[in-house]
Amino acid sequence: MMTHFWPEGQPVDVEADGLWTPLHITWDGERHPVQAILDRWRVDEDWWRGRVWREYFRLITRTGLLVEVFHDLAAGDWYVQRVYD
Amino acid sequence: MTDYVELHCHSNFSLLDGASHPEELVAGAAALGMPALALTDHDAVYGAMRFVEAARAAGVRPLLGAEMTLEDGAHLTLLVEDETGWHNLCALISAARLGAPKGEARLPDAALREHTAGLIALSGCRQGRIARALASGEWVEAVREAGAFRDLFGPERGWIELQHHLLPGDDARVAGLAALAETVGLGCVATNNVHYATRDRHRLGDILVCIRHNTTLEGAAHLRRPNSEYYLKSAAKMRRLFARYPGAVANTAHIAERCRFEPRYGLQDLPAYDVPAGLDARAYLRHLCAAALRERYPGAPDAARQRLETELGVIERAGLANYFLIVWDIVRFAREHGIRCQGRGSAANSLVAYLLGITPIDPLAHNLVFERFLSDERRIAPDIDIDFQADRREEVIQYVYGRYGHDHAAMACTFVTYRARGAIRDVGKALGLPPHLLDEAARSMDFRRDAASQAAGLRETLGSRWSSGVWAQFATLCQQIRGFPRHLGIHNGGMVITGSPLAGRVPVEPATMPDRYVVQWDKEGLETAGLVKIDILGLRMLALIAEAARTVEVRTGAALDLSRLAFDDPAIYKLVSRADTIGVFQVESRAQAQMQPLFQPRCFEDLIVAISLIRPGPIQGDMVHPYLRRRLGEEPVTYPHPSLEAALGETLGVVLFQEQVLQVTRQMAGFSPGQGELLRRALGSKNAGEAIESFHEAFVQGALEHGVARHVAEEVFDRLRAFAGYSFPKSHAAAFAVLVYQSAWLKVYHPAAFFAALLNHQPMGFWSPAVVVGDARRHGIRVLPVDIHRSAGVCMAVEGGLRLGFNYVKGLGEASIARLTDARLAGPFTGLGDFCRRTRLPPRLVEHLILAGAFDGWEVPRRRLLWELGKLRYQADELELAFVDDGVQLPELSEVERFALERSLLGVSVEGHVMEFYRAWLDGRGVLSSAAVRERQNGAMVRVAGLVVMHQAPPTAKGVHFVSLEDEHGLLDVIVWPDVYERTRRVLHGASLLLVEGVVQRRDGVMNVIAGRVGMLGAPSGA
Repeated sequence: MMTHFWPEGQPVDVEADGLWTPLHITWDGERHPVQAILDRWRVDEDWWRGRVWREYFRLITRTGLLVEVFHDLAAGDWYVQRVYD
Repeated sequence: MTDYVELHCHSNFSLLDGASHPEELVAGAAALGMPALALTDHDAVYGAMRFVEAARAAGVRPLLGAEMTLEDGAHLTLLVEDETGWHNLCALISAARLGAPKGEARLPDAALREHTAGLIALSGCRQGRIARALASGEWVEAVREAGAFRDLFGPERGWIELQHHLLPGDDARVAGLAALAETVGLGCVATNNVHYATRDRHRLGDILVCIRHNTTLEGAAHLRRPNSEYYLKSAAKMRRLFARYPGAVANTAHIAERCRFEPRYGLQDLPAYDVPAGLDARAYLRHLCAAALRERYPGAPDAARQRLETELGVIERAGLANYFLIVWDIVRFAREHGIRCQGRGSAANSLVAYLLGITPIDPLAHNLVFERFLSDERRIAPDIDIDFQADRREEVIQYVYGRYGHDHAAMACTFVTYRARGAIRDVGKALGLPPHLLDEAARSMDFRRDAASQAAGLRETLGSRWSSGVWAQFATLCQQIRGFPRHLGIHNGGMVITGSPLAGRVPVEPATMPDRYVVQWDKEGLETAGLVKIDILGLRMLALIAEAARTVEVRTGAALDLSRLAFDDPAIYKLVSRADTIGVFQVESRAQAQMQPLFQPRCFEDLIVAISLIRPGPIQGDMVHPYLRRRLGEEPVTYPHPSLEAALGETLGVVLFQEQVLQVTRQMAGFSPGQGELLRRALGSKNAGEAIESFHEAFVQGALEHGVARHVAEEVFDRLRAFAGYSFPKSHAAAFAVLVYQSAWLKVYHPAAFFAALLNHQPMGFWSPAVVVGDARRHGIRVLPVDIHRSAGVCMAVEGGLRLGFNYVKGLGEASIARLTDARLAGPFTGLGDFCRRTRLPPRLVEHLILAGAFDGWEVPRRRLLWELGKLRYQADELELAFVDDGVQLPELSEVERFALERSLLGVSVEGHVMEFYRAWLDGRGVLSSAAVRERQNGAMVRVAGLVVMHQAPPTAKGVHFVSLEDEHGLLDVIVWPDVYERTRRVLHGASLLLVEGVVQRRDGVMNVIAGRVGMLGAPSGA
């Protein structure tokens, strides 16, 4: 199994609910409805260099993707960091 | 109100872990609408009293508890349900601390099993035993742990703790714990393991982790918490995190409801003093006082009897008779063992304390008000602080331990907190900033300014070395960490004594000093809790007086009772008036010495005033000069209002003593003495703004009702406000004035004994031993050198002078001195070889003795002895040596060399003064001696040189520096104005010998040289 990993993440469009839980992600022009969130966690790190404040989601989509996306909590943008093939 | 109560919360009293003050956490809880908040610091209740006070003020109910560290390092959260629970928590913390290294804790399971009553247990954080077992995937083991936990605390008082910090795996862990709870039949409760009040403080939390592990942020990646979720969260946030476990959130309020304990002690916790059969404490106290009254006041005048009756009434109503007996007993022990002591502080307002021999001052003769000490309005444990001669204080402490037992007596602790310098050092290190830049930063930072302007200042100082990332945070973090407790110390003498075992009242832990234990509360904490503390303080001046008095007794063969001195000897007041006060208690400082020639004390009351006048309160309240002008008749004595004449008459219309706050408020606004005392306390405390305002209104209102104009009332209140924080009570000053008189008396009549004792009890006060020796010599005392045959371990008054003791030879400690004096018992030393063979002192110390002149009695040149020593090849404890005279001729040490070596090894110079080596050279250049300067008129231009013995820039002097120069004739005061200081600071700080050009300023017997130019004095020519 191959994994794609982007240290700084790849921008991605995410539709989320009111509590910022992803409902759909749009990846490579394709819409992937979220089937289940397997885990979620936050980091708040490196504030003395440039704050990394993110909420991560490891999720599976109905289309069969297993991905880790994160929400940049300061700026509000979403990124894909890891895609499991 | 909300239904979530945080039950697991660390303050900064979880040392170097929690990142918010208890007060900040309380404020956070109040803002979130929490009805209650728990404080659960690690193995401690250090912050409990501050927390309780803040919570009461904010209307949040305080719940007490602790997060315990068990014997296997696992954590367990305990909350106190009732008084039994509190006793058990204290016992558990004490047990955990006792068996662990300082600063750590390990609670044995056996102890935990003994002390679960009244405690509610939450199963703990990730480090809890159950959570650990679950994390290792051992379901069976986890069920077993959960079962054990249930068996120990039962389903009512044992709860499975759920924490969700949005960390990877938290969902699964919480689900596992919830399932486990159901399996063993326990309820769940949600907590957030709070470590800071607000999210932004997690940064400081990261810094604290680095400090605790002595590493940097980069180096602490695996130690820091990975995110910032450990803050006080709202009920809504917690409900969202625990959406699947609504009961866990609701249970927090349920548990909080059950915790109903707040510590309140009081005097009933003192041990009962063992009174004679047939009497109770009250009757026995009455008996003791009545007997003393007859002795101290022959004829028992009405005034004394009435005063005693009043005081005993207040004491009895407050339930304090037993307390007085306990203090009396400690003082009696000291007296019986010849340990000098006397009470200080407001206790000297009390006739009862005087009659019991606790305080040295007759309150009737000095018009001292009892209410300043104790009143019906203020039923709190009064502070009785007693000074004991410093060198024997330990005996008194041991007596208290012995009498009441280690289980019932311990010392108060102190919290060593972060101040500017430590903050800069530790925060800077954690941020990985280079030390040399931190030094620079430290110089440019001013913590009175806010973090933003400090950051701007830093940026300017550091220029291109500034980088926006780290330095921008630095100032903020330094500001935040200030006041954080860093570690524990032992309070200087505060002893807590309890009737029931101490460990059930407040946790006890080992202090750094072996066999010494401290309670987990400091002075303020004990006071809030109402636990009585007795201050057993060490005072070197009492040791000096004791030693000098003993010397006098031995030399004269007659008993000397200093307490019988009548305070009426003009010679004593003349000594103080001419500022001949080096070594005299309280009046030796430069500021005091400058004032005395103007002030001219003539009686004991004047001494009380003198030591009260040079205090930050009167100085900042700008009362010193008005007082002196009035005393000299240069300005009329006026009162802000005629009604204050009675209160302020004795101090010429100026507010000088704390007691006057009581009198002023009574006479002007009709305050009761108790109210007045409450106001004074509020004025003296840092954070009593609101309380002061309410008194302010009451004062103005009362004054208006007494027919005082509003602006006058306001003016008087402002004066009280400016003054009261940093002043003495008159009673305290009076007790201290006794020591002023006694030490001055010794200096006048027994100078050799006085100076010898002064040298033996350094550091004492203001002046260095070198200055003391110079002063002794100017008083006609011959200061004799250290001599291997004639010196004792300490300095001694001897026929014709004062013999320096071995304690003044660098490197000679008690053990070496004992070796030398023991060896000497067998007879005089016949030579260096004999000396070394018999004393077996290390060659380095023998060398010190040679250079200090201790062998000069043999009339062998010092350099010759050094040469001989070099040839004696031996080790300190094994010595077989042969010594052959090889007839080498050596040049002698020059006079200057001899002097300099001697001075560096003794810290004082036996004969002569360093300035003597310069005198001829200086005379040739028109530089005057201090004696010659004293002959000059006001306004004369002079050049003078001397050794810098004192350099001060007191904050009250606004940038003016005071330098004292010494030469062979005495001291000379030099004033350096700020502009001159700016030009000459390098010389002033760098040189030990200064050449000053300036103008003589004389006023009312006080002389200063106002510096114009300052230079460094180099090595004397020809030396």
